Amino acid sequence: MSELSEIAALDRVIHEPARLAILSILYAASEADFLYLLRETGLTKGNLSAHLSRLESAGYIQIEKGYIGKLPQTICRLSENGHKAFEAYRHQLQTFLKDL
Amino acid sequence: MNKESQEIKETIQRTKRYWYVDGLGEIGAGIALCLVTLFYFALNRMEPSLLQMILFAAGLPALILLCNWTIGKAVRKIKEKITYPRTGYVAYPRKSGSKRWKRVILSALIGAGVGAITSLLAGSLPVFYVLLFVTLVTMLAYIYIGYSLGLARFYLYAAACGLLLAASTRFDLTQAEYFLAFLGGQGLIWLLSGCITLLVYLRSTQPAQEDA
Repeated sequence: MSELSEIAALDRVIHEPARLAILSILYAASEADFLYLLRETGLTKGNLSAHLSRLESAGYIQIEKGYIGKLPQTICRLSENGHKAFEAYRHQLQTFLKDL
Repeated sequence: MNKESQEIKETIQRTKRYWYVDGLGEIGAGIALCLVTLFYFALNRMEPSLLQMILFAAGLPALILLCNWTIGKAVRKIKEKITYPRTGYVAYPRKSGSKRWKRVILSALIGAGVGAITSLLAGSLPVFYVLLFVTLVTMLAYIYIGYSLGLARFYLYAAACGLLLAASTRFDLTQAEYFLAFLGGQGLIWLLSGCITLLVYLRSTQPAQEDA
């Protein structure tokens, strides 16, 4: 495969810095809440919500809304599809770097 | 591309390191080590008897398991009150099924290996070499954790182990006394480090209200 087609084959949903950061966090953790993702990614609340929705609609993460006492809590976790897609993306990235 | 790959690695490492952000885990481990030291100290003070043997063989592992369970639970509860409202909640995957058993067997094999080598050394070499071996194994474990998590304070724990060994050579300690000092010293180092980390964490963070 040529270098260009290798780049083109990368998952565009994942190959976006903010979404890549979110998926990297959720890959290391079994679940994380909105507050943690907000602090770690440095995104605004609106931006983070938009990226989470994009990942959820791609079937890569699951979002669960609940409460701790009176405070709302949004918990995100990687789905099985998301896990596989993220691993495939990392593998593609490493292969591409090796071929350079 | 290399940047992305590096960022993924660092983000994963940072997420794993988050467990140690508030020092609560270290305080818990420090308390557990101090309790084990006190129990070991009490056993050493007892007259040699069947009860002492039973307590050595069953009491010590039971205490370690009990500490692991109760302190682990307490740490998670305190994190819910202190850490999660400030910097967010993260849960880590628990090893299950065969992976969990592989981990248990590997830990048991390493423990048995270290124990066997320690016994072999104890029979043929002066006490200092036994202590040196145990200290080096502990230091290597700290260095490995520090490297894999990118957490610098574990290198300090490794250095503190070396200092404990150096300090112990100044006194004419028996093997049992050294292990007591070593275990207790480790417990106090973890406690102190955990308390400092917690203090810094509390001063640098404020509870946030999530309105997502």
